[in-house]
This record gives sequence, C-alpha cells and structure tokens, in this order.
Amino acid sequence: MTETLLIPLSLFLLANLLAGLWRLVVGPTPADRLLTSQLFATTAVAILLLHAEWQSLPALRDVALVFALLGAVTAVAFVRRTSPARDAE
Amino acid sequence: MAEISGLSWTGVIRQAAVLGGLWLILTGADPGSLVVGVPAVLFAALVSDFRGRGTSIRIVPLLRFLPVFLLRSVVAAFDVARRTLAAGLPISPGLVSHDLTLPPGASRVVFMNTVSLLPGTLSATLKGDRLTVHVLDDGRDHPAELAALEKTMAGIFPGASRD
Amino acid sequence: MAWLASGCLLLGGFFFLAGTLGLLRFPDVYSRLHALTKADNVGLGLVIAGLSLQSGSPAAAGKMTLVWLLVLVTSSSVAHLVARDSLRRGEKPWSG
Repeated sequence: MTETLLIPLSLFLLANLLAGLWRLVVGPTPADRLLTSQLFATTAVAILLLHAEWQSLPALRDVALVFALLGAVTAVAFVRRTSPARDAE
Repeated sequence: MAEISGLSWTGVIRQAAVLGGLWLILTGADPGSLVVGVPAVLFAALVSDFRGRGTSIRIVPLLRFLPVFLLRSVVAAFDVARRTLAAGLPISPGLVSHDLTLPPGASRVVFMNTVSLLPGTLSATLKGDRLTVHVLDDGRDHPAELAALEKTMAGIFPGASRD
Repeated sequence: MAWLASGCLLLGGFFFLAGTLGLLRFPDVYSRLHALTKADNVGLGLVIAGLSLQSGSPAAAGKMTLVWLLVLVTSSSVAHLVARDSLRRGEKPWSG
C-alpha cells in the first residue's frame, strides 16, 4: 500500500518545489533567493530517497547524501562571498 | 587513561568505533569494502586524536534529550504549519537577546543550531556572549525556555559548565 | 506497519507543503527561514521514517538517518548564517 504512495508523493514534492521557486523570482533580497536553494536541496533529497525505494536503486541514496552535502557548501559560499565586513566571532 | 606522548588510546578507540560505524552505514556493511575501510578508519582515528582533545559527550543526558528534541521539532513544524495555513497570518515576530552561559565551542554551536530547530526560535547573531534570537511569537517566555535548554546542553557537554 | 509508514509519508508531504507556503506567505526573510528550517526538516524526517518502515532494511534506514542528520545540521547552520548576514545588511525584521 505504501508502495503506491511513492510516486504521487514525489510528484507532489516536485510541484511544491516549483511553487517555491516563485520566491526565487520575486526575492526581494539575495538571502530570500538563497532560501529557494535550501528548499531545493531538502526536496531533492526527499525525492531521491523516494525513488531509491520505488525503483530499488540503493545508489540513489548516495546521490541524496551528496545533495545534502552540496546544500551546505552552496550556502556557506554564498554567505562568504556576499557578506559585508565580518567582525570576529 | 593511558596517555602516550599526548595520545589517548581510549580516545582513539572511541573515535575508531564511531568512524567504523559510519563506514559500515555508508558502505551498507559490504565485506569487500573493509580492505580499504579498516586502514582508513584506523588512520583517521589516530590522526584526529593528535589534532587535540575532542569534545566529550555524556551519553545518558543525550539519550534523554533526543526524544524531547524529536517531539519539539514536530511541534515546531506544526506551529509553522498552523501559522502559514491560517488566514490572518498570526505571527508577531521580534528579536530577543540572550546572554550565553555556555562557553565558546561545540556545546554552544549545538545549542545555537538546536534553538533554530525548536518551535518559534531562530539563532540570528552572536556578539561576544550575547545571542540574538529571532522569534515568531514575542509573547512567549523565551528567556526561560532558552535558559532551560542551555542547562540541558551543559548536562550533555560536561566540559562546558563554567561555574 | 504499512499504515504507519503511509501515515509518516503523508504527514511528511504535508509539512513540505507548509514549508513552501511559509516561504511564499511569510513577510520577511527571518520568518521564511523559520518556516523552511522547521517544516521541511521535519517533513524530510517523516518521509525517511516512512521509507525506513517500508523498506525494512537496516542498512537503508541507517544511511537515510545519516542523510537526515546531515540535512538538520546544515540547514540549521545555514539558517543562522543567512539570518546573521541579513541583519548585518541592516535588513529590519518585519513587525506587525
């Protein structure tokens, strides 16, 4: 029964992600746009894990792991590049 | 605790156990992977111990906090869901200052990250020992909640109490 | 067990929806961060819980739990970095 949920759920998550991209269009600040990349990373991880189960492709779980890591790198790079003078912390 | 030229063997063994577990999860416990895995884990455990003293964690308080954390994360998600679905967008955000008693280091980082995952609070900035928290509902007793969470953290990280 | 797995997956999907609604409806970057870090992380956690129950494989469950922990750590750190960055830029939190 759970099996039949996997594909509808991943399609739903995809639609959800596309709706969230509106924030990328309207911003207004660069930080707001970065939030979409956060949304993208988390949603992509969920969709990959659903497909790993549905298609019996365990390698997709490793892809999900890499996505989870990349999300962090993107955001740290963003903040380091755009941040105004950083005081010591 | 046997210490040979700054190397603590209990530390190495503990680190090797953690890294070994991680290796088994990542490789799905494939026996063939152990040819690379065992040397890699041992090497990493030795090197990471030379790097300096690690952070010690008390297991029992951690295990006691885990279900609380999971439950309150779910509460946080329901809280956000309720506010986004409501017609009038019922939020009254604000900034709350909190003076940290946890020293700089792992316990403080874990505390700040945990704050962001619990209901209605988000670690915003840190200046010296003063943490500014963005809150979704400024009517709640945030100082008391933050202080209680900090006490829990100090229990998990024994090296972290300053008094 | 199948009911529990399905329930976790559906509730997980609901939280992803809540996160996106928050991202679209909340008035400033700070409150949007609240919505994303809390709702999406729990949504992913529930999807992973449901999949772990469904697959019944400890290896798969272990790896997915690891993925979840990684996402928790990164998204809460990112939330802090973005909030800090925005405050430094003088972005005022919305109030009332």
